[in-house]
Amino acid sequence: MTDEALVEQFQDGDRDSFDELVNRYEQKIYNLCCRFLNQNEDADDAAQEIFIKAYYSLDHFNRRARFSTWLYRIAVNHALNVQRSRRRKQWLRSLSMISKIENDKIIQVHDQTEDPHSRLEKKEEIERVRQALDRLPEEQRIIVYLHRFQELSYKEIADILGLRLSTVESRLFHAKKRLTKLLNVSLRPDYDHLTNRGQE
Amino acid sequence: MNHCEPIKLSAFMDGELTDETKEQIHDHLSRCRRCAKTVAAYQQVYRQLDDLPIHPLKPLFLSRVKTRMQQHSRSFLRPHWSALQKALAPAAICAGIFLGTFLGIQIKSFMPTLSSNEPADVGGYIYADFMDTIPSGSLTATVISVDVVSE
Repeated sequence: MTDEALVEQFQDGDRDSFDELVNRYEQKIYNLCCRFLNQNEDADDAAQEIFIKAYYSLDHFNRRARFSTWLYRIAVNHALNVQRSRRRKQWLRSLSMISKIENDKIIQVHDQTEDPHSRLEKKEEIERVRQALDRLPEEQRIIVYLHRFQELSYKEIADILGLRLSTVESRLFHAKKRLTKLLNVSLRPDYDHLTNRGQE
Repeated sequence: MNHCEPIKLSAFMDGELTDETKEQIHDHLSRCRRCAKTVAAYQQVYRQLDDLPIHPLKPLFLSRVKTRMQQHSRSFLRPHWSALQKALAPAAICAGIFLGTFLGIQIKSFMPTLSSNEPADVGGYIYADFMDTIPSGSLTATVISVDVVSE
């Protein structure tokens, strides 16, 4: 059954059809929140709030649009609001400390076989990439999140953010250019490898 | 040699070009070291982004959402209910005073009949004691003993 059919059922009074929509999108929305907020607990909370907002607004949803586009729009706006309010409260807690603790936990879970040195290197690498992402202008960072981590096309991102296709293309290009500098990427013309990945 | 626009190389990497343009760039990259370098750099950026850890979602997400929704609807009603109570309390007191005064006046108007200790003909016999002692326009702190005697 399509998302739109489930939305139709919901709007006709079958509230249980929302459960299926949550099941379909919970992981995607949670991942998006993780990227924006970095912390598991905050991301889980934010993802719940996004679905609650969606539940109470779904009756007013215009079925001509795609449900996923509408949901992502709610998610991006909510995640940005949480992120902004968290920045305002940043003096209360040290974000980097918590983030480092989270990284330690993840690496401990996934890489128990690795030696402490490579674990530390990996942790530093993750931190470096995160910091580089944080240094991108917000409008570029959102597009990187949606494109790279949610695997959305330029068209889908344009619909979600209400932008022109060329704007999405340009912002993503500038984000890549900037990340290349920030991450100090070494330039190797490994063409065979990259063309295969580029067309995936 | 003409080089590709960097923005097109970026779109090429993301698979966002038409098949024809894709083919042209593909051909160009096999010959142009500079453009190939640019694409390789973007590709390396993506590889580093892909290495960021993915956090697994804790189980029972849907039930957490539902519990939260119940709390949300309760917390939505609670402030409204207490606001309603606050608004209604003075209105209830005023209504009580008004009703008390009105009924007091009404009962007082029966007093000549009722206070004479004689039966009154109001569909039966109503016999009331101590009605003279009721202060005018008040029902407070008064116990009225009314005996209705049917004919």
